[in-house]
Amino acid sequence: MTHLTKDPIEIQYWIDQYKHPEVGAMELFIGFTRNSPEDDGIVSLVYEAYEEMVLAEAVTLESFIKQRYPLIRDLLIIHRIGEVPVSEPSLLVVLTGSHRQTLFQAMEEYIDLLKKKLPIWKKGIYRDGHEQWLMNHF
Amino acid sequence: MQVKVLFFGPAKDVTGLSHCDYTIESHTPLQDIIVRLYADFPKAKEVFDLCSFVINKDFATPETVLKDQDQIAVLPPVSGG
Repeated sequence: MTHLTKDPIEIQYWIDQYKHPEVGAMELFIGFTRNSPEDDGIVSLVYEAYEEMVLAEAVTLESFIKQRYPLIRDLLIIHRIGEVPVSEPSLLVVLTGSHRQTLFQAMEEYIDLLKKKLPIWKKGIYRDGHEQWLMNHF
Repeated sequence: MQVKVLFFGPAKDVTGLSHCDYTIESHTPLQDIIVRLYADFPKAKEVFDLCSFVINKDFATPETVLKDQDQIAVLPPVSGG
């Protein structure tokens, strides 16, 4: 399942949603807006999405990952849209299954794919007031 | 026939629009709209050069023939996550 939201991502809420007697392992990836020295004064990121296409592409990604890793039970992407200040989560990815081994590898692949495939863009807002569209680095 | 062009991210900023509409003849290929976009938004050339064009959320070739009410999206390189 994939959601785009303008509201802060409630991590604990989503963990609770995916607890299940058959789930022995749950892996989470949380991406935050950061302002490390190389980011040169970022105060927030503004995300924009082609929402209809994000949801359609996410269904394709989910099918692809489930086919490659049949032991995965649930896949979830929550991506924040709009302004996300430093230290707030912009992305939550949850994978569940019976064992941990499959999840680690699947998570790496799932995140790489979503960053390459989902039509979402981010703009950095800087302390000095300037704004700049950012690229993903792989 | 009418088609709508949607702009996202840097393409939206450089054109100053979230969308625009074009009237086209039947059998018009996507390439004709791309040519019109370059002509109508000359300042956007550098951004358009990096963009993909999709029709109704599906990737399309320049030869794809447009239909009435198609939505063409101009997609710069993505940067989600």
